[in-house]
Amino acid sequence: MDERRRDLDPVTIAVVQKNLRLIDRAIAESKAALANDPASVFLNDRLTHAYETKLQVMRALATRPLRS
Amino acid sequence: MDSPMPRAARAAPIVLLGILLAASPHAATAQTVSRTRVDTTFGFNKGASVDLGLISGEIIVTGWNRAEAHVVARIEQGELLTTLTSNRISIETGSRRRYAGERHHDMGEARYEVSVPIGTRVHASAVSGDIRVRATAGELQVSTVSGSIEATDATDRITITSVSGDVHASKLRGRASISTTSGGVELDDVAGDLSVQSVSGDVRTRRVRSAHVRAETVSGEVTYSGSVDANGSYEFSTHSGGVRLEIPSGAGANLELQTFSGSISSSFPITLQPDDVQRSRRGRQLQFTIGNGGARISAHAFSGDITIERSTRPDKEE
Repeated sequence: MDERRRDLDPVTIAVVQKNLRLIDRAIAESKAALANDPASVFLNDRLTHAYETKLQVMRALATRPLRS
Repeated sequence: MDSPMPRAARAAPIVLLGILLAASPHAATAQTVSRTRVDTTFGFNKGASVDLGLISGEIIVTGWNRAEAHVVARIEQGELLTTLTSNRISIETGSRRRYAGERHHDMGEARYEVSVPIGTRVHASAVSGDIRVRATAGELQVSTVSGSIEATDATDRITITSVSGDVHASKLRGRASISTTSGGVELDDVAGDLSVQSVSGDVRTRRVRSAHVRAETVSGEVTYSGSVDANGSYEFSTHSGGVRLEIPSGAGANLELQTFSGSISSSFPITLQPDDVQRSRRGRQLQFTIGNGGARISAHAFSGDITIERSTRPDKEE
């Protein structure tokens, strides 16, 4: 994020940060639910999925070509 | 009678020219021309490629039935680096000052309007510019950061990415992969494998005919309206948004629906098996078969609702 900050306008940075917070909230909610039901395959899948989504967003930001 | 020029002397100008070209910083891109405005028409091969990039402004690419390309491009500040041949069109924005390490913000808005033969491969990217690609009926790769994307009539590999821009696409034929961060995605008339991903954007699809569909978002809504292939797999997922599926009344599929704190409703008749009741105790989960089964449909949400509706529209309109 810091490396791309110089390439992106502040509005875009804010959008990405807001969406990363949404994913973090999803991660936190999944973790809280898992604490009450650690054996839930569904909740484990949701948590894993949320982490994967966060990784994809960050990877897309890091590798997005900004030509010209 | 003059004596013939020695071979070495005759070759000297050619060698000198080669050395000068090699020493030039533009030797490797001899066909790239820098300018601020383009308006030209030239012969262009079907199946050739277009590669367009800009920071802000607009890109419009349209397919037509002529074996030629028409290019109109301009930039308010900065330069257009253009390569225009019968097999490739490339237009980028550039600035001599940028080469000295400055940021791209010193460039003005640019606008490209390009018409190319149907079947042309189109790659286009913009930072804050909008991109519209229509009727090219070829491979498509489009990306923006904050600009919107509109794509109509693309085939083969279709890749569309955006951070905050919305995506509207229709008449997609091929393997489509679409992702946004906050932008919404609206798709209509899609045939072929489809993968859509967003974080906070809604994912809305209609008239989909595909055996493999995956649509997911974190806080947005997911809606699907389309046919169901007997051998197909359909996966829909959201965290806090809802999932709404409109399935043909005559479809055959095995459905697996689960939400942690949302609700599940279905307009299809559901007959629970003993195992299903056991599974339903934990969270909200339903597994049931419609028609003769076959396709696998899964819809997952954490706090969102899941709604399954029967579509009564004719199959060809799905």
